[in-house]
Amino acid sequence: MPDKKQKTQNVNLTKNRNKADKILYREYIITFIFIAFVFGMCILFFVLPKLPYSKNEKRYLADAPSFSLTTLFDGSFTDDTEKYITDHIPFRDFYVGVNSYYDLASGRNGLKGVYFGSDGYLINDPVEKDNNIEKNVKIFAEFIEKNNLNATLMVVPSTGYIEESKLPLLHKKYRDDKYFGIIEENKGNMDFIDLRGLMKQASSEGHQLFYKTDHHWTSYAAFLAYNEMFTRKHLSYNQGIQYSRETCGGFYGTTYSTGAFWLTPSENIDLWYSNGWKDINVSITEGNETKEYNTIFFKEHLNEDDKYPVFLDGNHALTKVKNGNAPANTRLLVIKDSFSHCFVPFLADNYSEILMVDLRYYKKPVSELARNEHFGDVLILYGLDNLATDTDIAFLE
Amino acid sequence: MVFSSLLFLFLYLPVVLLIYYVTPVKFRNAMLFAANLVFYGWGEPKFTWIMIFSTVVDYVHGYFIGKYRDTDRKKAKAFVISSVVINLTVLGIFKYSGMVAGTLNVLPFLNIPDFKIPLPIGISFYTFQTMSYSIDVYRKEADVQKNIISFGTYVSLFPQLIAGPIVRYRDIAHQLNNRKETLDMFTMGVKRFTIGLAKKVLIANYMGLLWDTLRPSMNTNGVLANWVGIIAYTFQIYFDFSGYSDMACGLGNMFGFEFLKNFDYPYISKSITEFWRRWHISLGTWFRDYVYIPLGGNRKGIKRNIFNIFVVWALTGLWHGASYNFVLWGLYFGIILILEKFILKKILETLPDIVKHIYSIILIVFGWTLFYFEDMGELGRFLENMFNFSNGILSHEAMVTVVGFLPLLLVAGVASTPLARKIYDGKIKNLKCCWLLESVCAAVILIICTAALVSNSYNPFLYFRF
Repeated sequence: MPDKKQKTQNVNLTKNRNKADKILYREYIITFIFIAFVFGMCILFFVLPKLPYSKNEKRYLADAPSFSLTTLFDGSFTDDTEKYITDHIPFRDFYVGVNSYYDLASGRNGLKGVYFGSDGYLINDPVEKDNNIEKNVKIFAEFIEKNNLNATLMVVPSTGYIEESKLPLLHKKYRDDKYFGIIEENKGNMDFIDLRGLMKQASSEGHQLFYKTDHHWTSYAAFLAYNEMFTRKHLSYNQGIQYSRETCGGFYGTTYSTGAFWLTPSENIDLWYSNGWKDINVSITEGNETKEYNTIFFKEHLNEDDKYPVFLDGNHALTKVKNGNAPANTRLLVIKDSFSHCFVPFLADNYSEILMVDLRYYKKPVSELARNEHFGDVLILYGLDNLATDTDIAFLE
Repeated sequence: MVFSSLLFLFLYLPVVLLIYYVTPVKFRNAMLFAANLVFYGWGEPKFTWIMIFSTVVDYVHGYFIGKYRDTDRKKAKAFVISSVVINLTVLGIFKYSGMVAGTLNVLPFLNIPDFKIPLPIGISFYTFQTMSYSIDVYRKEADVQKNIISFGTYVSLFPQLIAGPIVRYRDIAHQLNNRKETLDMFTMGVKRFTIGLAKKVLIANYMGLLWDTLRPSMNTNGVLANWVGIIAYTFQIYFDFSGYSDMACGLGNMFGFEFLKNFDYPYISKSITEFWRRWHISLGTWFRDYVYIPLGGNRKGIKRNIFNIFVVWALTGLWHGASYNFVLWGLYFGIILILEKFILKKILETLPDIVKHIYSIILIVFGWTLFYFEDMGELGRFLENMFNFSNGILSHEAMVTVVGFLPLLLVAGVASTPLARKIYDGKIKNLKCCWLLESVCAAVILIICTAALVSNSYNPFLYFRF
């Protein structure tokens, strides 16, 4: 029979060995994590269903690669496989978000082209210094002069310029003042409505002029601009116009998608209804096909991921808005980008017929359109960033 | 295929690990050989033939060298020479023929049309490895590898195939047929791989982004921003290359191999001589063992020694790329090394450490400037903008960029020194919760690296004007 001392020693030994085993086992947790991570991602990649479309990127994701000896030897199989994996990697959006917040936390705000501002503002960084603004304004001025039209030019300043206080302390310069100077110099016969002062003033009074998660101006900002135009152009109108507002929630726009700061809260879109709208007719032409509607707001889009097309159904080559209640025979041609979509509804109280042309989709001569449909008055309305980067205006005839 | 890709991390690696560990030990080299060929052939299947050609040629040569090395030195020597000539010819055709043709065209009566042979990746690494085999066998520093599969596994071993380290045959000969994979070694491999991944994805790639952002506007950045730019490149090239080596060593460990380390904190060097003992060690060792010492090294008088150093450094430069700026870069270091060896050494010894560090790092940074710009005109413009104060010190745009990257520049600076290693060895390793710290760090690094890799492919296609 072993004496007591030896027994205790044995127990101690076992204890020590257990302890040693435990420590050894812990040492391998890191390996377990690595293996679990790499294999887990691999298995999930094969198991999880593949989405054909990315909501945030608004593009179709890569199709599964097709294998054959031809595709193998011309290299397309391997290329397609890589694209397929990167497009369909499990938790893709999660990772993109992690990367955005990682960059933000380590000091690189704005690396994806969107600044993470205060108050939940996600703001596009300024346009490249090297841009088309002078060229584009000159093209418009020439076009207006050549076709002897009566034109108003309105350019919406960039969000970063108006809401500078919302930007991070260090950010690239918004050169709106310089660009507005260039517009002023090259506007030709056009009547240029400069919105900078008006919008800066309203912003300092605490009004929200731009969406926080989107690059567009709000309906309120559009209303301010409309008022400015209304007084300046002495637009005819029916007395007693009033607006009722409907607030729709859950909106995420373009800067949210680009910046990938997924924790940003959603925001509201306000729809402003005028009591002056009667017998509204909206006809939308895309190619040779024209469809007719009797509403300004296309509310079915509010149930979709991309809610902004609630205004006039989004971008189309030609959009004609008719209001039976507006002063008769008042007609306006609008050459525009999407900043006009929440602006034109206000104008519907003053013009019985408004034809909106989007140069990105309408490829026929606009001069013919103006002549054939007898438009004398023209409004050119663009957001500054768009005006500076647009490459379709060059083809305006 | 590169390690820092989703394809490698989440498809190739798990599949290869799984198959490797379920394969019986005696077939593991064969399995690994097949996996290597898939790895190598992924981007350009046709180049696999060149690697197989190299493998067969050197296997056959090795066989005959081994056969004759004890009985007929002349024949053995003929086979070594034949092996070296064939290897260098392959390298010459695929890497340098464009450069040679361009150079010959300087002659008025020649008019070789422009042609471009695509460079098979990793060719500079594996031809050097196969040559080391023939020479080692000839020198009796290694035994003949009788098994062509094992030999093929060595030549094509995917962890070090495309970016080193250059593994000499003798360093790995024993492991090829007698390695034992253990959990401890695997765990070590996981740690090294994870660190390498972080160096590549979280430091090198971002430093590259900083350099690429600043460089195009070198005329308007201001002097300081251009310096930050080239320093960013200095960090990029170190963390890229050493990160890749770390990943290679880590992967080697996972499959039971042990490679020699390739980098030893080169930027803390106190002289250029020291820098080259710490930078890309496997390449320096290769040139020392197979060029410098056979040429006579420093044993044949000062003149011959200087000549030998020049030869080695012109070749080292040329090895890095088929362009004259690389030769210039090699000679630049050759000259500094000669100066240090014969003149500066005594002066440097008397100086305080801080001066030695500054002296070294400035020469290193200039070296990278020569290394980066293949176009001499652009090199000139950049050098001018590094000193031309008429463009200001730091423009607003450049300042915004630089400040954004400042935290990472500091991290890169600290990570270039052994400080973290010292803290780890001295303190953290002995902590009770070391395993927890390590595991959490590894998990965080893996997620953030994956996030960065996924993010590269995130292309919101937004019509900016809905």
